[in-house]
Amino acid sequence: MKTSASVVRLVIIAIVVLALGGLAGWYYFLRGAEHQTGAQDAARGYGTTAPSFAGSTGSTNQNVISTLGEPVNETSSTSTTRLWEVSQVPVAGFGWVGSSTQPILYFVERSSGNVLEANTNGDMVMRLTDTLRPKIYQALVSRDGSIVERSIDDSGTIITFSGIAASSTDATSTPDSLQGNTLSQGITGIAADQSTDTLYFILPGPTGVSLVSTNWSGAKQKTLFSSSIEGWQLVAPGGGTVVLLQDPLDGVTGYAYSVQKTGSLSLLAEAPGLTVLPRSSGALLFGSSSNGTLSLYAQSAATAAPALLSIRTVADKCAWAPGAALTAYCAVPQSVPSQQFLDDRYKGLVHTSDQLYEVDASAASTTLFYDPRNDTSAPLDVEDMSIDPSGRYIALLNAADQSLWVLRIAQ
Amino acid sequence: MFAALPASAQVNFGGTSALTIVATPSHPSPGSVVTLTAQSPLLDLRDSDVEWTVNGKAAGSGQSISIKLGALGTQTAVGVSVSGVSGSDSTQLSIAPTSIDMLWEAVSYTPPFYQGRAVPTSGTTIRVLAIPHFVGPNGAIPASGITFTWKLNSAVDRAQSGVGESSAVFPAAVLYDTDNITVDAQTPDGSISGEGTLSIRTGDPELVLYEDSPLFGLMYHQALGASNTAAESETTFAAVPYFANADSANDPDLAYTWSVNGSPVATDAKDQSEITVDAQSAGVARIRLNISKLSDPFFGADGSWAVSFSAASGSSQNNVFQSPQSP
Repeated sequence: MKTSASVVRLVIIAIVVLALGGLAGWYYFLRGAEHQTGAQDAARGYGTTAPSFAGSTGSTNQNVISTLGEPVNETSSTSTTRLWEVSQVPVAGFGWVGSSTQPILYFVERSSGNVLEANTNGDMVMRLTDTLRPKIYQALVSRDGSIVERSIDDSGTIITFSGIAASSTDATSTPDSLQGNTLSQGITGIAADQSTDTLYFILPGPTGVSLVSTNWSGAKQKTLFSSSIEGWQLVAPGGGTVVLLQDPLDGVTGYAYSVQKTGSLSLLAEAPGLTVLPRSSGALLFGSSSNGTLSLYAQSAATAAPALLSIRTVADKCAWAPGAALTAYCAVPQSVPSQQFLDDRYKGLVHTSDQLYEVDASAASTTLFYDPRNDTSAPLDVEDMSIDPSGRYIALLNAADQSLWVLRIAQ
Repeated sequence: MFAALPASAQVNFGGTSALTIVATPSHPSPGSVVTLTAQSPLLDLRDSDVEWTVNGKAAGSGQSISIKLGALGTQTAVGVSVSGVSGSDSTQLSIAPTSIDMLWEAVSYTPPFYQGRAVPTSGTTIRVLAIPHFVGPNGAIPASGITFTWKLNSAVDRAQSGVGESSAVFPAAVLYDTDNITVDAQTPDGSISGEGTLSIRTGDPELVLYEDSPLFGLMYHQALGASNTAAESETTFAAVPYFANADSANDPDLAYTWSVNGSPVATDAKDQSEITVDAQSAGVARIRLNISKLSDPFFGADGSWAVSFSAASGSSQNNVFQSPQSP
């Protein structure tokens, strides 16, 4: 009897010890998980405060501040600075939507594929979609809010998804899903014509690549051109025009062509290390990069002679302004950090600190109009510059960290 | 480019005019300046009067003249007449300026979304595309109506030549050597012709290291430099062998040899382009990488990077690093 009591006592003690051990293990497990989550949030640039995104109008700039941290030098519409850091975390792409008097910018988070809306009226940001599409490397946004998101699958193949995000006027208080279709696999290059609701993409095949046009749902596909050369970049300046640029290489002649409706090519420009920025009217900015020397040329019309501009940059860092005047804005590196500037830039090996110039392509003149150092200590290595339809704002990515910025053009 | 018109010769040799016009360059482009030189094996041109006409108008005298050609699609009729004690003769030439765009790229590895051009390294091939700009009396002549003759280092490649054969593929030269590629293009009647040339050097592949973020993916926009700082104690790095003769960064033909602070690091055979460094305390990880290919002794690339890690939270270890782990 005494032995039985001892056994029972030992069993109870063992159960208590095991229970305590289990609780301790669970405590440390949760603590570790919490630490891991915190580290991941920190890696996203997020603070510890969870975003509320509450209210009938959705997110506010305060949400952005609590989520992403304090934007640099710009937190509210009362700010006198011209520069607004819309997103500190990497952005896959963006675009101006609608044609309202107050420009609205949609952008796609690289980590989640979520679409967010940035309103220049009050510098507010609101999350539009919550459909998780992780690791988006490139995104396009059309004027009507259609979205293209591009990622890489486990086999290294590029996946291209086309969907649509609700506009803020239709949005409920909660983010919506991003619904759409997956386009052909392996698309290597893509461009959107904002004026005709057309996507152009480069699709590899067994004997080369094809240039295909389609609408944003992937329907009405039409092959426009085929080539044994596979490395092309696409630019769609509008008006149904599409321009093919051979992948640039520093110091080696590159070619850019306008693709005719017959599928034939019309040479636009050729130069070593060629980059181009066509305009639907036929005007053109093109750049040359060779041995660390950058040159930018302006053509006021397709048949006009190119004029060398005084600024040293590449056409990748320029954007045409809307309107009849041949005005463009270009970011100009204060110094060129490499003898193979384009090659090293495309590999992410070098970055620049840029100033912004206004270019009058008709007169081939340039004017310094903004130095970001006046408003931020962050060097801005400008890429994917875009001007809103009203011509009052410039949106751009900082190539160094893929952060998104908006600059008010007028002082 | 050139069409010799019937010559009205007074000094003939076997029924052929003894007077010819030589143009330099032989395939002038639109708007370019071309130098025309009269030559004759029978006439003493130095002691003769040599008169030139361009499109029927007097254009100068002397054994050579220079003229500027018109735009694509224009024809320039050049005539020369010689008279002297050694005899007299005349001939004409029609010049149609042409140009050929010579596009090329290597069939070598570049990562997804890379915007630059692939260049050749050992064992790769080069694709070439000739886009001719020929304009005849009836307008632009498509490539399908033009005969292309491809040459690699002066040797004609008959298998890739022919009517409409505007593209070709050639093996890259051996390491640090150069491929000289030429294409002669002409219309079937020979009335319009042109030439394109390329010199393409074979170089080394280039190793670039990026962080592979669990949230953002490969940070292609932020390549690691010689010295770097890691934001997290455990970081995965991915090497990209730009321009390697490979289908992907993890091509099984590539052999990656990683080391961190001198210690070899084994990686997953299916994902050998990546390593994960787990730093348990502050320090500098000196990452070295060599890539080779057993089947190609000329293929190789090296890289080294220093990455500073700050102290990992919760760690009390004095060791700079725990043993690096494969992902």
